[in-house]
Amino acid sequence: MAAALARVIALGAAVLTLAACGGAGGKAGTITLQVSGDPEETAVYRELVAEYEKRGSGKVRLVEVGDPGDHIQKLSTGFAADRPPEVFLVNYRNFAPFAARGGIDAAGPRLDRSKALRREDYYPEPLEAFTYRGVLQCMPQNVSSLVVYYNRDLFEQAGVPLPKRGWSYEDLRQAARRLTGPPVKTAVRQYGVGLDPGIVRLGAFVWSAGGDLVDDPANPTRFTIDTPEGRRGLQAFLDLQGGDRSAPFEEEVDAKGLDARFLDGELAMFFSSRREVPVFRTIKKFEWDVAPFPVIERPATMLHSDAYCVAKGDRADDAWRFVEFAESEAGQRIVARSGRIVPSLKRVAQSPDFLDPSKPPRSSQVFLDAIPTMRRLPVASTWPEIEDASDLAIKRAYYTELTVDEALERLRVETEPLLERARSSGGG
Amino acid sequence: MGSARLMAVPYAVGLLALVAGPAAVTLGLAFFEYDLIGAPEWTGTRNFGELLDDPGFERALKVTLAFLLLAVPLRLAGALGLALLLHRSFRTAAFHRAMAYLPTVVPDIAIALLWLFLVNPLFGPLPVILGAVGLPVPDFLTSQTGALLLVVIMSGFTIGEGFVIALAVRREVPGELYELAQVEGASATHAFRRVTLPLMSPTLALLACRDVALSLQFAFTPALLIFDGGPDRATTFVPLLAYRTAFEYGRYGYAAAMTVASLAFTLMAILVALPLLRRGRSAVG
Repeated sequence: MAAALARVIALGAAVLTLAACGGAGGKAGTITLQVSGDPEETAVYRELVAEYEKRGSGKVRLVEVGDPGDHIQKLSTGFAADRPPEVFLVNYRNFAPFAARGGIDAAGPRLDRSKALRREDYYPEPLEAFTYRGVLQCMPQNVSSLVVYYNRDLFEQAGVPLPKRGWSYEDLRQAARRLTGPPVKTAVRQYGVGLDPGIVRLGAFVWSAGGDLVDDPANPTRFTIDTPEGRRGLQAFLDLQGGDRSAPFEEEVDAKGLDARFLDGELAMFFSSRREVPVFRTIKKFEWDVAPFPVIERPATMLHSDAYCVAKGDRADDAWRFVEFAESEAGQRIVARSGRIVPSLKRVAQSPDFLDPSKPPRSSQVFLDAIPTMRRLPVASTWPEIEDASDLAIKRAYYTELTVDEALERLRVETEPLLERARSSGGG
Repeated sequence: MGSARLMAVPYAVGLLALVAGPAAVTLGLAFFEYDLIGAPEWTGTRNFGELLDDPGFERALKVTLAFLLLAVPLRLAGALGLALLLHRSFRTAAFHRAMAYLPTVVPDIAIALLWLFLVNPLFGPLPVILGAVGLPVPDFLTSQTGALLLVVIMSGFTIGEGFVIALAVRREVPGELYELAQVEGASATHAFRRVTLPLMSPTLALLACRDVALSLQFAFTPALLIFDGGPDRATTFVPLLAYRTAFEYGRYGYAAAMTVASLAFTLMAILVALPLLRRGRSAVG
């Protein structure tokens, strides 16, 4: 019996060992690139990887994760298992925790030594966004911003003037009112405007009104929206839903999302970033375009940027070689043609690969014009948690029609413990 | 007996490797600050101290308790009710028992997505049917109470395992006791209260203890997939909060402390049920 028992234990141990040998990590010389987005967004990375491999530069295993939240969780568990993807694409709002914990092989020193890339060829705004404690951590692939997608056909049918450069918040508000249809029982109601309430959207309203979001973007300790300018921006934000009823109610958005409504021609205007373009390019039944973020007091918009980060490890050099290709003119042209990005490499951003007016949006120049006016959210290791808490407060304020004072109080209650924890842990 | 022990070895190995081992690691992790990238930093009981002052954890605990107080009795009543209905042998008994068990084998993610469609305010069949017969349509997706109730209702369908256990116990109750009760002139309700319930109460108490843990496990998927913990944290149960704290915010030590606290909470619920278990056993004698 003892021999039989020993055989069973040995078999069980062998099974467990074989199971542990599976999972992430490819063949020798293969690096893993992890990206997130809808299938239309991530399709271009297959093309990028194919071109890289065709040049004999190395092998890349592409991992596409649909949900951004799952993307971060998969990264975390990859780091936990000591098998993170060698390269991963991440938003500037989410990279700081990985940088703070020493998981990233900083791009700055490599960029300075690189023979393929030059720092001055890239827009400085996204480079600053991916700088942590004075060192560039990741190479930004895009310099997108918050714009207004609009359904040109709906505007023309209703006789509403099309959005134009320098248009104001009042212009948008009037257009939204006129383009909001009456309630209908058996169909989806047409609304004039839609936005996903959160700090990523609210920020541009506050800045355009002349206010600030936080006291110190490098080390935020409190929200500073309670100034007259900040309150004005917040009021403008809340008025789109509560004041004018030009935007869908929460249960309507839960039933059918804003991007789906825009795709189906049921939403006249939609605040979002460049990331919608690959999906919106599948629209055939109406014409659409983009307009700049409307001006409240001064032009402003929110930076949206993703970057390639290299994980620390034995394959960091191979990973950087891929990043050099992806960030080169050839690599950036591939991704630019898909519509997904506003290229961070200046000469590609100013080329027909990005600006081609035969492919929607015709007015891609709007994204480049916005660069000097863009601002960004704080970059701090605790920011993802603070952002989640603030999003909750902003969403409740937007959908339950809180007053500005009630909204500010809710924001304070939700975020104060987190900001206090960030302060006491040294922040950053 | 020797071969019986041998047959249990794979289960024991799995239990150690997949349950006891990770539980011990989690308990240890609760005394550290750990982000999975840098080295763990010993913090002693600081994580537990922070839990006591964390309004988010307090809120999650209250929501979890509310869910358990609603879901566990519902699931128990459902399992018992189905067992009482289907314990007799009749022509289609096997089919009905299989139908009662079937929702349990459907993956939680499929159930969550199905319900998301069912209650969709624009396209879902449930609002359409309720509206057609003139009944009010509950606001499941955007009201806190509605969301919690929906998760409770969803949990009431995955009672297959409890049903099978209750069914087996009910079928073991000697028929002579019911014949005797009938002879004594007892009504069906009286027989249920005086015969069925006392004899089944030890099993029901065990099922209740088991359901406290299972309900929380089940609630995780719909809370994440349908509501993302909302609206306004109405479905941010303790397991979801721990998951977020660990995998979204990188605070594994603190999340481990939440999990340990949650385990302590579950054990307390079981300890409350233990006197009932003992009382039931002594009634059977």
